[in-house]
Amino acid sequence: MKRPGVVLSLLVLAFVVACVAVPGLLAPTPPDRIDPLVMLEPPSFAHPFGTDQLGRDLFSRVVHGARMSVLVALAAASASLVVGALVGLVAGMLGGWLDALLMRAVDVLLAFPALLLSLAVIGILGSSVVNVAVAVAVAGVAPYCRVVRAQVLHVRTRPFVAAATVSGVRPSAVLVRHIIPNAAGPVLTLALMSLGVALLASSSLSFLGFGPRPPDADWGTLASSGRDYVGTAWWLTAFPGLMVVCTTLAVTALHRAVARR
Amino acid sequence: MRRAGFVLRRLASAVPVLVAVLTLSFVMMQLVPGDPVQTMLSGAGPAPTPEQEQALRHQLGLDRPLHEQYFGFLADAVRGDFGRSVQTGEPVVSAISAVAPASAELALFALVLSLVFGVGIAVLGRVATGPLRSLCHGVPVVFMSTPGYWVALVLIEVFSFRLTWFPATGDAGFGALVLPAVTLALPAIGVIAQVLGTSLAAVDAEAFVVTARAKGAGRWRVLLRHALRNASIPTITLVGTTVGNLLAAAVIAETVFARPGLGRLTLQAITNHDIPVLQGVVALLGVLYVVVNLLVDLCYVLVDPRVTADRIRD
Amino acid sequence: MSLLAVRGLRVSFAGGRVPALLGVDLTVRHGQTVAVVGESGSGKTTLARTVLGLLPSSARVLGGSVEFGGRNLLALGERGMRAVRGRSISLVPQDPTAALNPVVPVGAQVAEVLRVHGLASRRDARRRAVELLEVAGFPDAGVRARQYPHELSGGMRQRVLIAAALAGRPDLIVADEPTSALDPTVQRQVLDHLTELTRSSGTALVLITHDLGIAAERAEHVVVMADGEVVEEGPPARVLDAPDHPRTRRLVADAPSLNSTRLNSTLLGPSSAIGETLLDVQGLTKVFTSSRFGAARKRITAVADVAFTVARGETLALVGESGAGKSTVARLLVRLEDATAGRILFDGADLAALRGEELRRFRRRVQLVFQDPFTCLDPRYTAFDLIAEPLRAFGLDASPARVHELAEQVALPVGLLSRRPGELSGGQCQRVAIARAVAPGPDLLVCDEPASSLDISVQAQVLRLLVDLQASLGLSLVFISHDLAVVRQVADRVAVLQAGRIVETGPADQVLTAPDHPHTRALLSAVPHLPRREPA
Repeated sequence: MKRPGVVLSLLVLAFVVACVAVPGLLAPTPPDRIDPLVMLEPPSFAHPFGTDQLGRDLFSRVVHGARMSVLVALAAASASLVVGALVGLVAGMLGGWLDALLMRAVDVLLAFPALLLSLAVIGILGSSVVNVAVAVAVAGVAPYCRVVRAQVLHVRTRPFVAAATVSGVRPSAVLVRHIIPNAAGPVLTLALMSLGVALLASSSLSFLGFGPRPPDADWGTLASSGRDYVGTAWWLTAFPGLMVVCTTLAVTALHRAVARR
Repeated sequence: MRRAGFVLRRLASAVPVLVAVLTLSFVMMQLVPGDPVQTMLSGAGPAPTPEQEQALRHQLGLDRPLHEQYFGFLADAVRGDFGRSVQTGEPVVSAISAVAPASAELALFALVLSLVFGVGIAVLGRVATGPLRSLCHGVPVVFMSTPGYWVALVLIEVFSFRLTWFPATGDAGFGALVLPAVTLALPAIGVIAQVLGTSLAAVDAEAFVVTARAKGAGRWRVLLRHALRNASIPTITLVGTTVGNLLAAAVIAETVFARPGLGRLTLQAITNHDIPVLQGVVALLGVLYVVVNLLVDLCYVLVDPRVTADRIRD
Repeated sequence: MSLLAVRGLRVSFAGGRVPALLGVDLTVRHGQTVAVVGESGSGKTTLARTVLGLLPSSARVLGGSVEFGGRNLLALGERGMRAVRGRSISLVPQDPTAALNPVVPVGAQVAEVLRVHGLASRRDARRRAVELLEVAGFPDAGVRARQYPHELSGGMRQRVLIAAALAGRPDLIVADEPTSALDPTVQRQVLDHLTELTRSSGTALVLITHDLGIAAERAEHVVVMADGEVVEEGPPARVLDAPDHPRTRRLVADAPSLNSTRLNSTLLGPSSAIGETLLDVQGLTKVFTSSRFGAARKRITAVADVAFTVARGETLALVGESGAGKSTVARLLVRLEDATAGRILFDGADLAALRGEELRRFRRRVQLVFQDPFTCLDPRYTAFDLIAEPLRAFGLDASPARVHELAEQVALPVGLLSRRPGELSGGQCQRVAIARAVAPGPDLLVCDEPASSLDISVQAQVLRLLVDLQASLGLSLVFISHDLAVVRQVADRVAVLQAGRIVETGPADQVLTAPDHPHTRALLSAVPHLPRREPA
């Protein structure tokens, strides 16, 4: 395959998955070991990402922060997918007043920008890691409802669905055998993209201070705590942010490769 | 005539949306844990007496039945009265209108940047060849994948501390507007360039493009006269949602650049459980959404003669 | 001296891996009308695109020359070709709906040719466009010029495109299947306009078509293409009357014609086993109501008071133009739609009374063959699974032996059963669809334009297959078509639909030779005629 972008993306994701699964293997230094001798050291061989104001190894903190960052995004994206797909399926298959009601609700959700919706949810639920995931999931659910419903409505009018009905296939079997498999493609593509969006959103909420409490840190909180050292210790914000960018970019590039097929 | 009737009909259909938005913000207040009366009285010197509490509760109408509270809230909201900030005691409307101009200035500048560069990159991606073309196809994805807070920090690092071109904080003058606006615009540029680029590529495969070329039209004529207008509907929709997203992204940009504005007001309201302010912001967003959507729909009608008020959606 | 001389033209797609033209010659003299005839995949559209320099980017010209007025067009490059297109050679494209820009008034689209080539000022171009539209048959051209494509009918749109093609006063017009997207009666009007205008202005015309009748009626010279080569050419009387090449002979033999007779089963001889009434349709009416929230309710009567009967073993053809309500009748007959009023009695039982499981069981007896064989098959399943699906659904024998037997019945090679629809040709897909339809052993087969999306030769095979199956299985057929020549070959009786109503019904011989109703006469006179006809 002559797809360097896809290969690179897979490599990045493999690294991220390794960070999530076995952080201790990649970064043996404990992320919270304070070392007053190496405070605010720029990147070096011993500390590839430099050290923070307490002399903690930033590389280790970034590697160990992956788990929280990625799992929150993954949980949020999955929850959006499941809820959105169910709502979209019900609205698309049943139609009528229920469809109208659900879609108006989706309209109201879409009237608010995603980040503000998430903030509102956190405003109600309070700030915690779980609530960040819930907030991101709520903000991401509306596009799924729309796409799944549109797909179902589109596939339902395809002649092969009528053909299956005429062939005596039961309505439930038409749904399972013909409608859902043919509607799934764009939805799964959207899932990949929304994983990237969820990572951006959850790290932004962490950055704003609604994420994990110290000493725990994900990429968003790491970037946030480096804010005071912009101009003096650029690495403190650069590397955690770069991890978010690379992971999102890898997911998005995969999404594009999948969508193009 | 046709357009006037169209605007009226669209405005009428906006009423349910607004009611829904206001209802949502009322429900939000009910869902929030904690007692607003306690919050308001806490920090004000000695512990409040039950009488003080009762008085405030009555003053806020919180001792009335829920449905009365709801309709009271709606009636007040229609008059633009959202009460006072729990935190500062300032009327919500004046708290919002104090910072709204700064936010509007920022969002507007960012919107202009997004449109100019988004459309520019999309068009360039169609006519350019070689590495420039690849760049125009790749850049939008990078822009969309970069979190706003990081953009802001990198911009400050590079343009404020290294190059010292623009101030890192504050809202003094045009210079202070540039970096926050770029921060807001970057993802929007990415999305607009990507969506418009995809639509332009799709239109290029249409039969009427072949017809135009068969008349002898050149590449630019085909692009500007035939492709761009036909490809613009999804982008117009997108610009509508972009306006809201710019305001949302302002939460981060205004925090990092320490600018006063709606974003920071919202963030403070959330951290302080300042529900009346939040309700005011939500209502403002609802109105904005309705206005922006009306403009978007009007653009549809201007761009595509097939669109009529009856079948504007779907 | 010739105007256009194509010599040894070789073109391929996908970087040379898929050859499209294998050394094609074509000569057009000044003012001459040349028809290029062939089936899909024969290379006729690629030839047209090459002459205009509008090949898709995946195509490469491998050799040959295209001389036009003494210049080799292949050497001109994009900039040079831009000056030629619209000015010296212009195009009348295939699908008038897709070929017009939906957001630009039609007058401006005609004027564009003049503006691009600097033939007129902005205001002059606008005025000339109105004149051109007038010439192209718009009496109210001034009003029409300001309208958008969606406000015009299909035939009007094609006349706009003809006006645009003539605007630059070209020496040559290439018309690529200019009427295949139009109804037969409209087709005739548009072709009349096109040929008359080119003749009066002395413009040469290359008419690309799959329809031998059109070629025979309109061209002075016919070029027959097959598999990227010219297999035969000459005056239409000679080529179509006494074809030399086997491919031409097959094309001519397969072309349906009003002069042909009903096909008889090759297995059992003439079908005579027409029995008692199987299907009795009375006062069938379907009104569609748009119920979108906020929009004014619109009621569209698709089918109005339609009545007919079909006897066992009989074929009834429902004929009409697009929008006549044919497909709606088909969907009503298999209960994909519910009738607004009227009764459908099948074997004495009222269809409207059937619900749920009862309805599902009824479907075993009435099956539908769809118009587009690609879209009516779920792309995710193999031909085997698709044929087995109705057998399993009705709890019938779905063994491999039974599926193979069905495949053989529709002459589908058993080796193809493991393929998915995307890996099969249109004709093969339609065979799968027909096998599915006959699998549960129905009494009635409703065929909705079963062959109209297929090439002529494939169409002929499918029609023969249907006639054979009818004879061997004793099926009744409701055969829906817009093509009277096709209907001639399969129908025992004909019902003519116009705007949702049956305007004439009777035995095929009578309706197709001595029609009563003016609409039937219009439909019949629109069918292009081949010069010869002895029964094949």
